[in-house]
Amino acid sequence: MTGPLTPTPLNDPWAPREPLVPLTVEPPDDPAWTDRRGGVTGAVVYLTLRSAVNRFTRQLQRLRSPRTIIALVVVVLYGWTLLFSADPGTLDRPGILSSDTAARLVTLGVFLSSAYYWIIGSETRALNFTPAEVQFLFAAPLTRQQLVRYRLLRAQAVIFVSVLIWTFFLRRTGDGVDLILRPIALWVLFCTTYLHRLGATLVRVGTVGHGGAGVRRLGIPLALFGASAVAVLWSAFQAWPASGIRVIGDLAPMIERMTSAPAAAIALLPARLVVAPVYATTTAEWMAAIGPALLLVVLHFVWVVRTDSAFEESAATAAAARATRVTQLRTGAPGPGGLARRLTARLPLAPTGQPAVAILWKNMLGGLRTEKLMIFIIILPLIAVGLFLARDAMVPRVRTTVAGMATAWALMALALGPSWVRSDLRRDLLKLDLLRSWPLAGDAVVGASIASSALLLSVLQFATWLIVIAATGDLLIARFGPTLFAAGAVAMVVALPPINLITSTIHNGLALLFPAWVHLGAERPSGFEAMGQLYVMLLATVVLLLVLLALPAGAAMGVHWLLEATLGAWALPLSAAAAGLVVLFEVWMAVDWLGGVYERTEPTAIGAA
Amino acid sequence: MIRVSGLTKLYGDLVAVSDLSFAVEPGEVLGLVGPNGAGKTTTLRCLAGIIAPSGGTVEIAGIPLGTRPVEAKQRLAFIPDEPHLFEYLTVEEHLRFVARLYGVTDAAARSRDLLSELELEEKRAALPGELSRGMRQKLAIACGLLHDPQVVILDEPLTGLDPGGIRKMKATIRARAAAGSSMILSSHLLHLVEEVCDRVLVVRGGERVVHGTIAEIMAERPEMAGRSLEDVFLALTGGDGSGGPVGVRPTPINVPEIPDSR
Repeated sequence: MTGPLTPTPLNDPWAPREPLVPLTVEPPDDPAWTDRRGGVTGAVVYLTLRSAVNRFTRQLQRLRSPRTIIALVVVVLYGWTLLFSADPGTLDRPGILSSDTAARLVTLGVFLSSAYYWIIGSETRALNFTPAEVQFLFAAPLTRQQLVRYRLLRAQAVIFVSVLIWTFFLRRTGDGVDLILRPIALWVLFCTTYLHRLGATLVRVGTVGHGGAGVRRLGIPLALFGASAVAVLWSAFQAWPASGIRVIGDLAPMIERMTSAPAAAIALLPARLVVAPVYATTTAEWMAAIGPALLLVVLHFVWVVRTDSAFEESAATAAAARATRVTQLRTGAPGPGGLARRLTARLPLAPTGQPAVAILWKNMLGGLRTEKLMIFIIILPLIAVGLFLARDAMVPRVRTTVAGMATAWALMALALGPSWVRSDLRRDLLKLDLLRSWPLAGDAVVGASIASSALLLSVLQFATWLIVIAATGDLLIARFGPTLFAAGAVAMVVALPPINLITSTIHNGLALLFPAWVHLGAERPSGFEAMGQLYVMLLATVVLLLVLLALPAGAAMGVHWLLEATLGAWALPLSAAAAGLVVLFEVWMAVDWLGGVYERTEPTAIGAA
Repeated sequence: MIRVSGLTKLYGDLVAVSDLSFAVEPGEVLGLVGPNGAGKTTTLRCLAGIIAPSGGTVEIAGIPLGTRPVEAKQRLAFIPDEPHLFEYLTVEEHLRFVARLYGVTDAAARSRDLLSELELEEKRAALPGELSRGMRQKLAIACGLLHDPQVVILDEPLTGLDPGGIRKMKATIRARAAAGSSMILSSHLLHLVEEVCDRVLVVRGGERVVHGTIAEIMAERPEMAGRSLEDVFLALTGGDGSGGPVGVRPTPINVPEIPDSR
């Protein structure tokens, strides 16, 4: 590095070199030029194919990395276990997804989706051009019809993947209907619904700025869908059981009565025609159903490509809005003027005191504003209050069902919560340069980061348990007695934060020790590699959790054994407190060690990860 | 002041910084210049305590950075070329956060003054995503200066600033130096270095090439008398012998003649 620069062909402009290929510019209207390259259609086909090939090549190249190979193996093994280990006999029976009720629900869904695009509209979803496509294609000499055809071509990739996935989920016996006919039917269904959404959006944006003429043009489909919606709602009202819906099983006959009613049957006819081949169980049924469905897709195609609406401005605006939203998701930035941002604006922080508290404060704001936690933390207690006030009007079965769902959610939050709440080192390590310039010791930074996630998780879990208590508190008291209920509740309040501290320590520690294996930053990971890494880390977390909980569990059992005879149920919270103290000691030791790791970690190592 | 002695940074076999020694007195502005890959950013990151040097010592206001990093960083500000901000904190919240980190007792008054000086008052409730590149840079500068540091390290401080911002930034650098801070700035903008720096440290390949005032450097190269700092810099760093910009082929583009349709 210290010697004089040696002239090379790159930095010596006068070095002999091969002659440059002349850059030739031919007139764009030269027919030979367009013929040779397949015209503009060739360009968009080239763009589509090259994008797919390049993406696939990059994925293959990533397989050189051991961590990617391990992640892939884990994903394949997991997928194999999940999908193919089921008893083959179960395939003989139609599952929930392929039942008659599901067919009726899908028909309703197709109808509602179409009505949504006509009545409310969503340019962002239907005209989903990327900013690059807007920049290159909208400025290129392409007609609107060519742009629409390009959009349809690009949509085929997503439709193809959807067909594959749903072919698997809707399989019944693995015969010819499953393997050949159903994929064709699914393709027809997805293409028709996509074309319908696109057509509706093109008509909607085409009417903007056309005054009364525009309103009249949009008026006919709006009136049709409005009338159809009224017909479906009226049928639903008529089909509603007099005794109300008490269990999920009451829904199926109600949906059948509703969709079979004459008014709804007429309104849902087009949707039913396009859905019917998907739910055909025999080749004969499929053959009878596919004709009308194919006719619908052809008619939709002709309609869409002949629609000459000036959609460019709407599409460009939608592309910009989508790009902004993607950036916000990637960077973790909250939307402007969001509710969470306003509610947390006054979270206090004194200018003096323990500096590490500033990190706790910052991470709390980050978590509440970007992890959508604020919504849960507000909504869950409101639901609890509503349940408490309405509990006398509800049958016990509904209350226990709600409490059961809340319990399942709370347990999931305990196990998977640290993967959702990541407002800690996992988000900040990419800014290690900045963190290291602060006047804080490593253990202070690590400790505050761990505490912030544990605190947010604990608040979320407490809010969820409130629902359980509000819904079934009186039932639990009646069954276990007030003393055991109160002691159990206090024990839970004491035990949850230490458990969250442990899981947060594990996740932050793994991020520090193995940054290449942990997703860092605010952007959500995707792809098989991310999924595989997630499973590996989940496994590591479970193993570490079991190891770290062994000592606290032993302490809790010891204290309970000692005090149960004297204190009865109140030995429970004291046992939890004993376990909590052991956990605090473990976390303190871990933070001290991880603080040293933090101070030794080179920012380049994180960047390389 | 900041005192650097024998600073060395190795990445495996690669010597990024080699035995660099210099000092910046209170009130002095040192310009750190060198070609790309010269080791400037590595040097600055070592001085800011972001990365640990492989050898040598750094003292911030007499406090060794290696053994007492928290106390040393308390007196230091590092303002990188790319502002690292938290996307979920507003402008004002960034300053509150930094105030707590550094224990700034009169944070409210100082924040007000800094926001006014950097023309960010109207953006106090804005998130970084709602700011322009220049405003984000100004926010990073405000965060760096809030605790009135004794040593300020700036990496390409003018990046993204508009002409008005550039003028204010130069004035801020001079004002901070006049108030007694030791300033180190790294920049490729040699006119900035010439304008605001008292001394210049030229590095290449991680090693010191020359260190002194511009007059002293010029005096060492009498053959360059009357030439600009840019010429001297190129001569010192070996970037002046190519005869033209690197990589640009002086081959004309062949544009075919379009047949005359008349």
